[in-house]
Amino acid sequence: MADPIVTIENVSLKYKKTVLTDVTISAGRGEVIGLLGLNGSGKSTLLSAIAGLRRTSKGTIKVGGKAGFVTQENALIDELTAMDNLKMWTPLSRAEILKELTDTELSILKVNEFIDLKVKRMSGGMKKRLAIASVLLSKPDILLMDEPLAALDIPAKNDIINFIDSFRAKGGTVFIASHSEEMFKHCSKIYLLKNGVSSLLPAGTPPAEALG
Amino acid sequence: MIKAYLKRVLLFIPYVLCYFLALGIAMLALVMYASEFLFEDSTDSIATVACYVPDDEAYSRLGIGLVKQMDSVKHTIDIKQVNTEKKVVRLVEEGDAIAGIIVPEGFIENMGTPDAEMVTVIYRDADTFEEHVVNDLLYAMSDLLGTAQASILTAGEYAKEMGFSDGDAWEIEREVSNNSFSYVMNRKTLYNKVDVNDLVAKYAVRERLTASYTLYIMLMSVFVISFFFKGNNDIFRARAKLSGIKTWKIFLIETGCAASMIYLVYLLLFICLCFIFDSMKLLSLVTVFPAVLIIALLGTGLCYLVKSPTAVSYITFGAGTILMYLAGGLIPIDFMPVFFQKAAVFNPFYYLIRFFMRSMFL
Repeated sequence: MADPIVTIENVSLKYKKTVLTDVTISAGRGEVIGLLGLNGSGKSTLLSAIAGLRRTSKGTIKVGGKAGFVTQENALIDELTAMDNLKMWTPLSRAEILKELTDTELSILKVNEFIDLKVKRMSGGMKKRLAIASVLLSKPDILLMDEPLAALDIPAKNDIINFIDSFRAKGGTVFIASHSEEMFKHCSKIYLLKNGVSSLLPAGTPPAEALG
Repeated sequence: MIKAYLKRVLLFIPYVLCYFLALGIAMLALVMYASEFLFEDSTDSIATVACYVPDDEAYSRLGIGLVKQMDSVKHTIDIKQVNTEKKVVRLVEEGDAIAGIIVPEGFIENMGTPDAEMVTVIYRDADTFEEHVVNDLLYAMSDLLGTAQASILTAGEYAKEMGFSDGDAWEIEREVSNNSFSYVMNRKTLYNKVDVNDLVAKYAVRERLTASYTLYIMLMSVFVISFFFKGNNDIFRARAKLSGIKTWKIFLIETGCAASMIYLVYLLLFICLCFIFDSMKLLSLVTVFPAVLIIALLGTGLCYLVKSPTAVSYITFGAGTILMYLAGGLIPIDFMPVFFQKAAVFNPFYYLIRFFMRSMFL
């Protein structure tokens, strides 16, 4: 593996109670890292720590690039349209944004189909696509995705999986916290988080079996 | 980002307007009601006292007339003058008057002389007799005219002792009489009667209440716009970080937007209040800025600390209402227990209300 772009070494994190204990993970460019665990196992907390939203109690997290965070709660503003939400974070004009949405890997997300729709009128799938597109406009090196396929229909799931493959193919690194077996099929490495402790799953281990 | 926020402000205005209509109008109605309650001339606590003064008792009639005009009397006692002693008795008997006063002939002239007669006060045994009411009334009347009468008599006696002729003594008496009665008649000119609406705001309860209710409405507008704040959202901040936007910049933009929406609420209230008060100061549209900024900073700061918009709403409503109450913002501080009045000086809202009132009315 080339030099890792994300290195997590012996990280512990306490938030009311201990959430993570001595977690060690590394990820290189073009890798998709899966974080597997039951609810409350610390997956989302770990992603927040990588994004710099939480301070670790112990250990270090080194991130060698810009990290974009896509979660179930998104950073979208409900009363604005998709275009307004995108323009909020980028100096690009409407035409330039539309070009990005149609001529790059973002076209997979089909955001241009609902570009003038207000967020509050969007479905869960649309919001997820828009949140990813919004993050991608800032050209992150690392994508942190918390439950990217939750509550999505099959076409939306396929679009997002295709997008992740495309992002990876261009050298992007993706961290995915998920329960979806379908998602883990696309991961280069899967880490199991159990009671805050991480362990690398041997290749080919079915996630359901790992969770016990 | 600023453009997007400005667009959000415009989109939030209908919510702000709805809020203003709901709470603003309710509060204005409350102020109007409170002012009516506090300043209404006729109150239910007026007691009727029946009074008989003999036809030829000009002094006593004058005394009753003057007493009726006294501010302390006219708001509490309705003096019903009747032309016979029997009518006095009947009114008291039938419960139409709490007491009856029968002034004897020569009451004022004979005051302090061996011929002095006492006023008769009639009441019903079954009623709680408000003796102090009648006493105050009689004291006021006799103080007014008795003092004048005593000085006239004294002047006449001294004039005779000093050897003045009867005619001269009479002239002196007449001179003293004119002076004394002109004083009695004009004693109301000793002070300026100023309507409470014209008083400077620091003494005017209605202005004080209006200012504090206005402040309260503006404070509660944080409750309405708490969903506007996004900088308290970790994911939003992570997104901002990715675009190289600092948290303090979002904080400032959100504070500015909140201030502009709160200012809009003030502007609407100002327009409405201009129809009610002549004393509204146009300059307050400028001087209100610090208060607006403080409220906006409180709201934004609270949202960043508490994170949940719902919790912010509860805190603003709960803590804001309690602090405003303790600062005398909802009920005038003068009507509250002494302990509350003393404790109010430690409440920052106490000073905010004073500042607000000065900016609106002074």
